[in-house]
Amino acid sequence: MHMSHDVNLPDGYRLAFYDKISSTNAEALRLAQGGELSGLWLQAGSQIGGKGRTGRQWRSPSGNLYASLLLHPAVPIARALQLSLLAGIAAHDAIMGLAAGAGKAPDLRLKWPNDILLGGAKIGGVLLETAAQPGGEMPAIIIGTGINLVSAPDELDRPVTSLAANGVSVTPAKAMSALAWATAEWLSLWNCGRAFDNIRSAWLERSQPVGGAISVHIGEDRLSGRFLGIDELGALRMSLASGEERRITAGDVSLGAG
Amino acid sequence: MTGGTNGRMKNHMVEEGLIRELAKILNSEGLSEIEVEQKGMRIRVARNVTVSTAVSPAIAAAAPALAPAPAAPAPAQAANADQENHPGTIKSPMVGTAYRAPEPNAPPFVEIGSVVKKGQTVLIIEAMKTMNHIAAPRPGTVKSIMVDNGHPVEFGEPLFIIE
Repeated sequence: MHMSHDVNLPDGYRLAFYDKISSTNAEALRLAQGGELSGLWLQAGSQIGGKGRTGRQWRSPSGNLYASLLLHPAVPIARALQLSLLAGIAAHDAIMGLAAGAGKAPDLRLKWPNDILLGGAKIGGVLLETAAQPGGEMPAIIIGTGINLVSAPDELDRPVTSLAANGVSVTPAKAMSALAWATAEWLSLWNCGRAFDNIRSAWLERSQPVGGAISVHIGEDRLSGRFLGIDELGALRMSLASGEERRITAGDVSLGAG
Repeated sequence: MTGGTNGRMKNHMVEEGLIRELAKILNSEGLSEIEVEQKGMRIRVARNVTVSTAVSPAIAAAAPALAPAPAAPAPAQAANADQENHPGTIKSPMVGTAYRAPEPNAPPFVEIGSVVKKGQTVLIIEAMKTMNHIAAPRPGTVKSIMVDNGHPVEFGEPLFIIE
């Protein structure tokens, strides 16, 4: 690990760069449990144990962005979960800014809670983890974000893309700076959850349109219906064919009828 | 994508079948309570004579993790109350989906009888694509596990007893 000098960070944040690591989330969790202070970004050149939801592998060759932010937001867990939506917004805005720098304005949308889709194909994703801190009531929270800059892993079950495939050439350091600034901006707007309404409306502005078809896998169950937006806590709202409304806090969302 | 969850869904089916069988024995033999333990799983079925709802009371009382138990008269909740009031009980800090292992095919974080250190992760509860590591609040031995892998948990629901 060394401190990186080619990344431009907002005040109050630090960065640890690893050429190769198992996973930035796992390392951040380890550091958090050892009492590491809030505001540390961990960035990896490549990961050998990158992961997505329910232990799914997140293939992590060099050239893409792999970063985790360790925070002690001083809020209870229920409120810390709002950061899941915030992280999606920040990654969305970082990608949009990088694309704008190359003269592009891609069709970028959030899929609940925080996948980033470009033209319907996944270009980035977020996985958060929380852990109790030694001797503390409030959890440490780790926001792990992956953005496909130069390559997208083949995935059997969904379309994927990268910025390079869309004519945008960006280094991981530049993407790290963009993500760190976007995240810091949204964290201060969030104001420890006092302004969650701002986050909720910003998320909805960036998501697929309300009314579109979605399906959600929960374990082995699959629900199909229409996207109704998100509730006051950030849970996914959907309507089923029966007219029943469901609120989802954990599951895999696919756009379309599935 | 969701292939890894097959195992735990099957386990759930096995447990549900077992609970139903136990409930039958309970009723046919006029017992008030049966407890079985096998392969690191302990199931206790207690008969509840005071609740009359559409749900089979034996199952509702035995399996709080399968569905949040409705508010019920005090006697019906005696078993749960024991667990809730036990000083070693770890309760869920949130609503979410419980995972007893770090990933679908990995061994569970703990089993009954596991010796844990303070701060050791015993469970993950997922909500909002956030994996919340639930830690042992003190060192001890896992005496009871009241949560099923892949199932929903409610705020304040008892998860484990660690003594």
